Amino acid sequence: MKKIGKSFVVQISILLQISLLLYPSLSYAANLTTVKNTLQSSRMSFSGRVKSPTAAGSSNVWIYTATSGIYTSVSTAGLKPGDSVRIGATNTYTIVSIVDADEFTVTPVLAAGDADDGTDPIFYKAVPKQMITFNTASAVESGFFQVLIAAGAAGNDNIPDITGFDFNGGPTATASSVTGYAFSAGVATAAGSAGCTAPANYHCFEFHYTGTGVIGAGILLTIGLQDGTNTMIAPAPSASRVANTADAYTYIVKNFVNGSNPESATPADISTGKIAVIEPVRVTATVEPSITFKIEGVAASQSTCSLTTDVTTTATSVPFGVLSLDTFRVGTQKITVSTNAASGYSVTAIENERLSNLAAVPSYIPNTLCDSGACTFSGAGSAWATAAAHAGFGYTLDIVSGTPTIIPTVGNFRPFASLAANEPPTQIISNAGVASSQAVHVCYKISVDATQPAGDYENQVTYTATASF
Amino acid sequence: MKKNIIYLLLLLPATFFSFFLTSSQVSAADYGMSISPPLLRVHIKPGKSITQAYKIENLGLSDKTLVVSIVPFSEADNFGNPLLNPKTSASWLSYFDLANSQIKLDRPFTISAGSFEQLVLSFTAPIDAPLKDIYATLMVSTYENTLGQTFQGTALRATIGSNLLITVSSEAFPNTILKIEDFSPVGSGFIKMGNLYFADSITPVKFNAMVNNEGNFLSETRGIFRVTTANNKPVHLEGILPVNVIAKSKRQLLNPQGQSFEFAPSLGRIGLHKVSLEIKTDNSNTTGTIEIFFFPLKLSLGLLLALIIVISIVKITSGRSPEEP
Repeated sequence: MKKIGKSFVVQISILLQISLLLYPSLSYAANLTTVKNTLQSSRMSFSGRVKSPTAAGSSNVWIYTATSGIYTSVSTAGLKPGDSVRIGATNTYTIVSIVDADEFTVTPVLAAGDADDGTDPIFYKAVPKQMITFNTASAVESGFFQVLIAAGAAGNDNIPDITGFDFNGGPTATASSVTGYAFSAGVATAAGSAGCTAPANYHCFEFHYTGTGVIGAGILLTIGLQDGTNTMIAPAPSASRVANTADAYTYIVKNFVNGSNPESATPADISTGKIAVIEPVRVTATVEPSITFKIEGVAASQSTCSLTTDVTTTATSVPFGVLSLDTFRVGTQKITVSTNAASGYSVTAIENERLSNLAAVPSYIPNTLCDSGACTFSGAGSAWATAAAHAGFGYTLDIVSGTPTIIPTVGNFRPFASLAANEPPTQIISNAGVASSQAVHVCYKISVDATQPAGDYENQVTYTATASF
Repeated sequence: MKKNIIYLLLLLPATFFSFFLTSSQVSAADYGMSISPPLLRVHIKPGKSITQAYKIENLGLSDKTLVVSIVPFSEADNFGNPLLNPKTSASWLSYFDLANSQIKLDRPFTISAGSFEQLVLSFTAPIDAPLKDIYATLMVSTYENTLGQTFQGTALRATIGSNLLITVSSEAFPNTILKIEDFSPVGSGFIKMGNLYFADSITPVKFNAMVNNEGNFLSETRGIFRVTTANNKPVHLEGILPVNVIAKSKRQLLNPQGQSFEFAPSLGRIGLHKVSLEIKTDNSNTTGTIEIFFFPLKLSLGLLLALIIVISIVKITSGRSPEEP
């Protein structure tokens, strides 16, 4: 009896195990874990409208500070210099500066038809890439993930919406393959289009894969591109938004078994999250406009302006020393100019007089006429390679850094303009825009002949650096 | 001990060599000066005064003795560069003064190395001041009156300047007379017949333009460069770089990047187009317009050349007499 009872229990137990294998219990959807949707930028879009006195031909744009319909941006807090904004029907402008809470400036100036009070819209499109990450809850073989993103009411008209994201034509959807999940390209469908009607008001993105699926696998799904192309437009402020608070929107991630209709089927796993957008924080700093001018001496035996320097100069003097007859002597200085003035700068030069020996009977070293015998203080200069029979004092220039305009260019010499001869200062270096440490060598050259009276000769050269106006 | 001597012998030439390799060609005793702001534009009524603070910084390694002066300037070229002549004088120079207690115009003062000084410049337009523009430069120059007895060579004087564009007028927007001149395409990619230009429809066209201020007051170039179709539909818009055009002077017009205006048509951009420059000032507008007919010149020439080659080949081959058997 005892033996019969024991074998009965064993048989019942085996039957139970077989029945459990044949008729497994129903499973229920689990939560995907650690679900995140990271926006490339949490900046919201801008949807405002032009206000009088904005006028065509002007670069100043005023905005309404009260909402109206889809125009819910009522402060320039949502804009920053450099933003590309659409004003009016089609034209795009770049914001140059934010004047105050309801005014900014653009370039180019407003075209006719883009400055109508109350009717011309101003749109800035924020296009953040979205990166959805999560860990799978179950191993669904060769199924697909669906991501639903809250859509705007007019969710595919390529302008910012105030109730969700705009589809913007068709964003790129990609997924990174991991063990157990070999993804094909994602499929994006705008809210309301075939296959994306339920739940309503969500854009749909499907990421199909082959593979066994893995429990706890880390998945990365990406919607949009880093450069903003093929990317959904972030919402503009919602109608009920309180200033300086974020607008939150829902997104849903589902994992379906292969062949499921995502509009009606129950997903294997599901999770819901929120993404928030807010105006950018505008950080400002002031850089004062200025111009900086430096002069430095250059040592002897240096190669400058295709010449070798014979003397060491300082910032304030070019001491040529003892001159040999019919022999060149060279000294060089380095001039550096920087300015953040938009119109650039120029440097002029003038000497007080020829190199002079103001003894009882004054004598002068002449200003150079170059080899040609015809170079002038205001011309482009010319070659001066022969010291004999071409005595004089002159200079040439050579660029050390940057791309300034110089006159004369290296190899061409000319004399300095002379204040004593009532000549105006001549421009030697200039630049038509912002300049960062543009440096030039000024190479002075001198030669004397046997007719030059002995003595100490000196003069004074004045360099003047000013911004252009 | 012996070892140390060997090390020392090895180290000395190495030190000597490295000293020569690393020695700089530029001397340390330098002049470095900075002024801010570099440009000031003022509109003032007769009988009123303004003051402006300037920051002068000595970036050099030694103390500098400087002198501040005001010098009139005129335009040096079409690019906004001033021509200063220290010898020129003007009655309105007396309108300027420095409000600093220690620093006065044309009197030397010293700035320590690495430090800065603030200059407070005041400008007072007398009630009977002539209604016109005043263009001057605040010059800060090095000051030296102790050249050595034995000095020979060239002594250097350095000046840094800030430009002042001052309009003395009773009106908020005095009359300005701007005229656009020399507005035309540049380069070789076009043909001119009468007043009409013909240009290739796949070659970018650059445009040159000047603005002439014939008025007595400074004006700013704010406006737009526009290319439109014959139906006045804009196909290209570009801003104009805002620059100051002083009275009775000319200035080159450029795009906001400081370059010449440029329009790059496309292959399908065929037909008559208007290219216009519109400048708007506070009380006057001026427009310059030229007409360009775009057509596929290069493409047509290519096709024509191909056609000539094909016809030539056909003619040559058909003109050959049949070979004798």
